[in-house]
Amino acid sequence: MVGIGNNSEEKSVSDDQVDSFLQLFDGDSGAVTVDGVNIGKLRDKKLSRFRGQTIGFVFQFFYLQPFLNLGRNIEVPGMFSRQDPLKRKIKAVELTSAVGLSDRIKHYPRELSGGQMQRAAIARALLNNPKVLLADEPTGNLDSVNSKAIIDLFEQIRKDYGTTIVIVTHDPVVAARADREIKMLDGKIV
Amino acid sequence: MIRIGDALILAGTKLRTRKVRTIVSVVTASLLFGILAVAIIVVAGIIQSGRAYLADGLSSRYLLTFSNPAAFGNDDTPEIRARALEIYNERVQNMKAEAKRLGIEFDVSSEEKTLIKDQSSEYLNTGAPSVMQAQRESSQTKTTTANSAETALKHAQNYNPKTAYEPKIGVLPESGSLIDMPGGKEDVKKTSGGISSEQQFGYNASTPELTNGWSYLDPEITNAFLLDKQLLQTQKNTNDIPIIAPMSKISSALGLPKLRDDASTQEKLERVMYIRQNAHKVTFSVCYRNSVSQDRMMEAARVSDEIKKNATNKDYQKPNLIYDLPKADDCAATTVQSDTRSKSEKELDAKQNQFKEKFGEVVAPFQQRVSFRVVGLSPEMSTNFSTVSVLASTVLGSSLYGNWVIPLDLYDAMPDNAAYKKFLPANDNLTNTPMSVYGFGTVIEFNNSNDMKRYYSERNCQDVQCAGQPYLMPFGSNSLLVDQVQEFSTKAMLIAGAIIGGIAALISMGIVGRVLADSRRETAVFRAIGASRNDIRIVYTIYTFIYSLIIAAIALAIGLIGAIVINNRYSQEATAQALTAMPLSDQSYAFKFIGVWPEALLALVGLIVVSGFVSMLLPLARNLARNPIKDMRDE
Repeated sequence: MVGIGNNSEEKSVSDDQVDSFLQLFDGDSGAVTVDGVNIGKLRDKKLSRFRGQTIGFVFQFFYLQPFLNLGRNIEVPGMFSRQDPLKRKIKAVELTSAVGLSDRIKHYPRELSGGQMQRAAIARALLNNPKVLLADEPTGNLDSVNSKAIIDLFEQIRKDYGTTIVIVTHDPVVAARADREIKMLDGKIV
Repeated sequence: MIRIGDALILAGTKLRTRKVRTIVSVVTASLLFGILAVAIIVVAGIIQSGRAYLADGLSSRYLLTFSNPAAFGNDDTPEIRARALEIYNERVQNMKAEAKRLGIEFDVSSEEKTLIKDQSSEYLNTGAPSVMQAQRESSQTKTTTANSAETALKHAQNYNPKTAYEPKIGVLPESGSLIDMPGGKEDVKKTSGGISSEQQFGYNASTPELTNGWSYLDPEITNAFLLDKQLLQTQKNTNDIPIIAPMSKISSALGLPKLRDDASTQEKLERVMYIRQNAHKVTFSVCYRNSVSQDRMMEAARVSDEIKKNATNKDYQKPNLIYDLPKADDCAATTVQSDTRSKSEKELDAKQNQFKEKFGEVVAPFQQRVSFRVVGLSPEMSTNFSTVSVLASTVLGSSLYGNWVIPLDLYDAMPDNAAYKKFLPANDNLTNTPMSVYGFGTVIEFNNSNDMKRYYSERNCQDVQCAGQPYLMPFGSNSLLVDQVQEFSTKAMLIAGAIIGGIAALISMGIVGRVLADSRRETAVFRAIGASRNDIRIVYTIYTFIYSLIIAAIALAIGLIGAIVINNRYSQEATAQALTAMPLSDQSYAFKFIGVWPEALLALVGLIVVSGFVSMLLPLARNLARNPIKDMRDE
């Protein structure tokens, strides 16, 4: 699923949608149900755990830890969800392979290209087997070749893991690859 | 909650953020705390060196002197005046009767009156025999009890005293004086010129001369100052009185020139060692002469000069009785050069002497050479006022205050000390006792420093309002001072620690706060991928803890290096001074400025960690309260 707008303003979400999104970070402001769970009633600890295990985030600017190598970066969500370190490491190696970065697992972000960093970020987002992957302009900082590679990867993930992927983008090429498209104009879904 | 190991990994990444700024703040904070660390290590070294030296001799014991002004009392009271007048009247009556019996003339005015009157007042004539007797009677009781061991122990009874030692002062009988005999010889001309008041009354400051007199002390006290036993066994002149002598006097007697003020530490050490090895070879002598002996010397010289001046004067009449100065220079008696008195003149003189003797006047000359052999060293305060020397000698001043002291046990062990019976100790301070002994009262010993300190702080008072009350002084060791140094240092470092901790916390707040502010986006990302506020808190707490430990490690290293530098610069000088202050200490021991004070060092590390956490609290609270969505949007 993709949310699309022509520019940053158009694709910015509405207040209600912000509130809903904010629920993922602050469980006090109302009833929002995600996967059968009323997240509005959850305290920070449970909300954080829910967030970590249910939703994966992929950011436009990757936001990898500069002083951790690729393998460790992918493990970070597992640190917060208190996964067993060995299992976490094995999972990270699998995901590194799944995103085609096996030969880069010991490398640091400064040694990777933009596309490689984004793939690493995607691998990180998948560590806790989230049901939903939220990607904010995942190809915004990539060239067309890497952008295609990333979308190909998303398709592969959906096929392999059954993960729902929600992409926010202004790129119609990316949008065209989605199963479902939601257009927004002036902060409203059209 | 995040595992500690994982939090360590994430915290480690924070330390690599903003490296330059982190390094600058770590170095600055480390230097500040490093100064404290230097102080702790150096002070610990001084205290531990002091305690190690204090383990020698007297210094491991807890001793105070007890001086009771009541012993000296008021020598001029209405009661004394009344009694003196009574004695005077009695004496005059008796003198008249005795003069009549002997058939000699008696002039009442020759008996000194009890009071001296001047224009505005009258005061006791302390030279008058009647006054002296009245004062003696008055002080007899006080002297024997006021400063006695019994009185001292009673005064200290609530503080568990162990025992007390009464020092005894040597007596100079018959209004005599002690005359120096440098090189064992008397300068007869000097003696016949009159004894100076300094020699007679002993007002020599700093290190007293032997002519000022000496004290007798228990072996419990004096053993700490004795020379090596094997050296003492080589002494042959065992019938000389054994005496503990001031270092500077031994040095002169050994023919050693005075050390220059800028003498090197090695020269000072060598001087102390030389004195220690050779002091047993030193002997001193003084010539004791009573007033008659002195008077005859002076008369002999005067008459001799008179005769020479009148050599061509035909009208000059020589005295009937002429004395000669002693030919020998070994404290000999004057001799009669010529006696042309008639029989009746001789009889009259004899009766006069009989009369004088009956009423307490000394008529026969007495002189005696009193010889001493050195058996111990009496340390003196340093005249080198460099900071290190004063420090070492003050901290380690185990001292007899540079006095001349005779160990009672060694005196009793002399093969034949009968000849010196006249000079045995007494408690009668109204004889012509030289004021030789500084700071000596009865010495009270305690079992531990707490009892001694309590007694000293609660019962000692030297203010004006305490006039008349006993006063106390540390004796023989400065264990009290070392304890005081430690207490003072602890307080000073607590204050310094609070100030430095505060400054360091401000510095750390700058860097930690900056790191936290710069981490807003990262925090937002962490929150997005499942971190709770508590997880963030743990990561930054561990980051701050590691940051503080790095500062602590560097500060301790700076402290150690600083202390090593100070030690290398000053240890030898302090050792030389320490050996001068305690010349019989184990010479292999060095005075060090490096010591271990675990409690203080742990407290320092704790202070560093606490100041780090204090610096983190506010920025972290602000960081956690932020809206991560807004932060990511702002980024």
